[in-house]
Amino acid sequence: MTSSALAGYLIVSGLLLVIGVVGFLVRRNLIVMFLCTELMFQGAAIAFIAMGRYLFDYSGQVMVIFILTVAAAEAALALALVVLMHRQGDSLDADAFAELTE
Amino acid sequence: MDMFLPYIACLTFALALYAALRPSPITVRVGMIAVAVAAAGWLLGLVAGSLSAFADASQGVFFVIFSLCAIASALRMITHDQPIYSALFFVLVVIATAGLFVLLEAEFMAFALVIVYAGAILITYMFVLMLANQATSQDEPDTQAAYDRIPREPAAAVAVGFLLLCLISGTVIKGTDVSIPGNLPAPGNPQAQWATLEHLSVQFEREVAELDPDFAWPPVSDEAGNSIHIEGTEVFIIAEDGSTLVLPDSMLPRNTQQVGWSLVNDFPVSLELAGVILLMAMFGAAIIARRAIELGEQEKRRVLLGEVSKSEDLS
Amino acid sequence: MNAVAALTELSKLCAMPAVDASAVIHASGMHWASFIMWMPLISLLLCGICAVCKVRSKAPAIITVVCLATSFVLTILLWHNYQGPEVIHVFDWLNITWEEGSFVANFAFYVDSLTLLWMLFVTGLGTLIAIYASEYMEHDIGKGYTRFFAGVSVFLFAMTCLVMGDNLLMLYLGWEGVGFASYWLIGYFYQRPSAVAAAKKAFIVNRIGDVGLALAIYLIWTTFGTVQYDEITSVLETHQYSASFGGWSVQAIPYLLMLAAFGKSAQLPLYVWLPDAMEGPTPVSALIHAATMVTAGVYLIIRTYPLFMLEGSHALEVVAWVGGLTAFFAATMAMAQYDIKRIMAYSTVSQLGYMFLGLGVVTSYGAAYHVFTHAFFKAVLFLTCGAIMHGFAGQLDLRRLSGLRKMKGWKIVSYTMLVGCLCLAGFPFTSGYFSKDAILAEAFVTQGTGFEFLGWLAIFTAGLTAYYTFRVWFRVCAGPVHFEPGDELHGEEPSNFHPHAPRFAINFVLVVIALGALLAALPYFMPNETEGLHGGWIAEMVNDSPAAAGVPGAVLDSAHGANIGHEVAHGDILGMDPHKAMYYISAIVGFIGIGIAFFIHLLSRPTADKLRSTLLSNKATRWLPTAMENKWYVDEFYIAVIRSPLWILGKIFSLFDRYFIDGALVNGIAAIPRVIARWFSPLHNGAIQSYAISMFGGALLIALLMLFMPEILAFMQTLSPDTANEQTIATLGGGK
Repeated sequence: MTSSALAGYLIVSGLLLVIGVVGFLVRRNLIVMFLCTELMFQGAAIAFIAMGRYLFDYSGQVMVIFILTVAAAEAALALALVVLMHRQGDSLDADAFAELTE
Repeated sequence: MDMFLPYIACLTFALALYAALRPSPITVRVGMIAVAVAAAGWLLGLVAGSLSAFADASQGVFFVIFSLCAIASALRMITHDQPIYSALFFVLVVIATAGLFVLLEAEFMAFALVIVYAGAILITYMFVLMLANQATSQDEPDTQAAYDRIPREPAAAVAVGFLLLCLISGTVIKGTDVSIPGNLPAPGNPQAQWATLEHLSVQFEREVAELDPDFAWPPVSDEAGNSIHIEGTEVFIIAEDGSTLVLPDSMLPRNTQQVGWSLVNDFPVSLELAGVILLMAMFGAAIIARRAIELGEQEKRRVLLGEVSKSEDLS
Repeated sequence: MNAVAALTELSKLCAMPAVDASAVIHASGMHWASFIMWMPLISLLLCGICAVCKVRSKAPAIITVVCLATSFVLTILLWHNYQGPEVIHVFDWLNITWEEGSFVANFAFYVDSLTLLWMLFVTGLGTLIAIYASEYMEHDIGKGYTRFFAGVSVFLFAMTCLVMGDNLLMLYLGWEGVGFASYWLIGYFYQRPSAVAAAKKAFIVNRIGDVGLALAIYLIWTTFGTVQYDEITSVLETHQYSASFGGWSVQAIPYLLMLAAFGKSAQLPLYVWLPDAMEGPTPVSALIHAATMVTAGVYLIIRTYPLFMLEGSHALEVVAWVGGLTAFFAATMAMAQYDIKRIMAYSTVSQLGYMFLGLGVVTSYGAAYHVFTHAFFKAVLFLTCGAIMHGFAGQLDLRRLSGLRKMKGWKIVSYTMLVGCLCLAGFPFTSGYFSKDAILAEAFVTQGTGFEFLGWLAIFTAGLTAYYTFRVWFRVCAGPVHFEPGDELHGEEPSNFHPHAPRFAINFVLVVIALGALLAALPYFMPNETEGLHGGWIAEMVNDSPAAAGVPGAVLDSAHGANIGHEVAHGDILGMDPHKAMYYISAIVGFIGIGIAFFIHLLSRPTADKLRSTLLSNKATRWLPTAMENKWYVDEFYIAVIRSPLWILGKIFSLFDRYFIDGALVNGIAAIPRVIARWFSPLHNGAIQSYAISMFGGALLIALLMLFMPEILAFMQTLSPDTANEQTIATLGGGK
């Protein structure tokens, strides 16, 4: 794999990361916010795989397995919390829970 | 000027993204997403050079297709009003990413991704979305919540996104600039791929036996324990009696075997810990959701009954 | 013993030693003389203690009278020990020397005969008026009695400083001090807005004159190098009073001094404060605005007389013209007023005009004599007006009072008032007659632009003076008995009002001062010890001073300045020697004035009203009574020309201050943090995503900066090539 190709894969991963960040900061629906974090994970995964392929080191792919694991665990717990919050406020709006204001 | 082009592409991308985020008719949004995708493609083109960067043309074409698909789906995911559709577009992203993984010769990861994400995590998301009455329809705008339709501070968020994209592109461009010596790590040694085969001794022996029954096992290994030698594109092993056997590409272990071996050999502790994490997550989710649901039901019952009794008093 | 012998004996008593005035003795064992000044100051301190201890008796009055009497006794002692002009050094005040020059203004007394003349009547009248005020102000015990006597003490301290100082700076100190005391005492009834306004007016108008004095002192110091009187005189001597000495600044000095004198002594155009100053209590009017403070201007000019005598200087002519015109105008205004105190105030302005006229026609003797006699008779007139005011609950309108001399207990007041009026009118053989004559005669004697016209004008004014003075007396003290109470009833009912006749203190003082007014004619008859002098004791007193040029018959040598400057030529009036002619002319004019007043205001009072109404009804003459009653609209003119523009300017500045300085600058600058804070406050909205954006964005900016550091440095290098930066670029850009 040439360095230009690697650069291309890294840019793709970066783009997905950026889109995930923007989505996280823009959306007010809690569930969609968590979905955007998953998107960020996707970006990271691509970066790991690409670098692993470039260096012929399988640690990259192992890392992605762990990413997957953590993503799954986090999704479960986050969704449980979201359900809780929905019961509390009957809304999924992130701003409805803005208690940190002055 | 040339050095600014990638950043101009980033800027175009950001502006199109901003335009797509703001509440506007569906056609405008989709149009803006198309523009953003085009800008992303331009950026990729600037960075990757031409399709000749890839091993062969088809790889390049598939790369373009999968990456643009992923980006387009991601963009639509964050701009869509209805959360269910966001989840569905995310599935599409996952599938495109899986495609990219296949291009990168990581087929195990690709399938693992699809199974775990699209099959498990996204289903969970769907369940929660339904639970939270998020299944709204486009025809009834009243059912749509304001917090879905109207994004918060798209300008600031897009600005941040733009900065991040510039940072990443800058780093990648500088990092892959071969004119600066020592910038990139040296491309990996393909020898590493064959090294796994040596560890899979049973399979190695069986396959060598299938290839050449007369081959004297075991082959000669040098000081590092490598018996497989690579010269140019030829991969061969040397027997003790000096005969060489060229190993075909089909003997190379599959991605799954590679990953498995790496996982167990290099990261056993992490493996165990990952299991523990999953266990804890399971416990936690069960505890949180159970009580919440129970409590929530009790609350609802009380409120309903309370309201009923109140209204009886008043009337 | 006949009168002549008696007078000769008296003159021997009062004789001044014939000493060369230019030899000033720097004494000496006379340090006790400084107590003349310290006694009023001690009185002030004790009155202050009384105020702090809230004393509710006549103690402040007693303290003041005792201290002032001591000053008077000391002054007499000083007079007896007088050997010649001397300087009594009290303490070093300002004594700065450097190589090119020096500024010496010590706290020292310059005691010559002129000083003594002034001090005698200042301290004498001060004591007597303090005694008068102890009864007059008794209504105010507990409300301001102590404050009044403290004010009187301050005044006398400052006046002493003014008269006895040996340099112009001490004179200035005293000048300002008497101005302050006058302000304090005019505004004694500070709850009355008119009194407060009058006090401010007095102070401000005086200030206008003080500018002249300050500038004159500066110019004197820059030209003469000194501000001490004796040294100034000696410098002038060495230059022999030539016109070329010092250039324009020396020519300007007399005019500036004149401005100061006009302000303090209420001449045109700065006289407007004196009639309003009648808002103060009557003892104040008597002491300050009749006898002592207003003569400070005359004293200033007499003291600095040599400066007016420069060759080719027209300063004295200006003084004469201003004095003469003031005398005339003030007399016309006095003719039409109804408030007797106001009439006396205008009369004071008019008589001061006479004094300045005297100074201008080079008879400092006549001016000093008139000061002396005027102090007595004007004081007695004011004090009788005060007694009337005191007794009739503030009534001062002469249309509402009549026949006082027939009322029980008011005889002394009426007859002392008659004495004062006779002196003021210049009735033959009263003191006022002789002093006015001295001035009137000299107007025809001395050569000067239009002095003859001024002389006739002054004679006409004398007639007017006689008229308005006796208008007052015939209206108030003669005729049928009739009275109405005034505004200060102190709780009594108007219907059963009884006039409150004056008691011992007031009567005693009135009698003493009236006697003094009559006796003030005596000095005229005292034969002189000095050769060739005539004019009596006053002439002797003035002769020993730098103002000797104005003494008739004085030996004029370069030590006394004149000879050069004003030719003393004897003109004649109607073929007679002016001095003799004046005796008859002024007597006739006085009788005519008294006669007219007798006719209009006593015999047939309705005639006055008929005269006034005929004048008013006739369009051609209507302006005359209205203008006179409205004081020729001078105050209105000043308000329109000076006060209104300043007031408008003040308003503009206040708007500027409020909207620009306060609004734009102060409030604007204060608003900047507020505005900036408002820009940033939306950042604190409690939404975590927004915080995340801010934090993330900030961190990214720094990361970008670090990533692109080499490019940024290279860019800066192209902008400003600087070898010093290369090392920075190498260190920052090299590392990755």
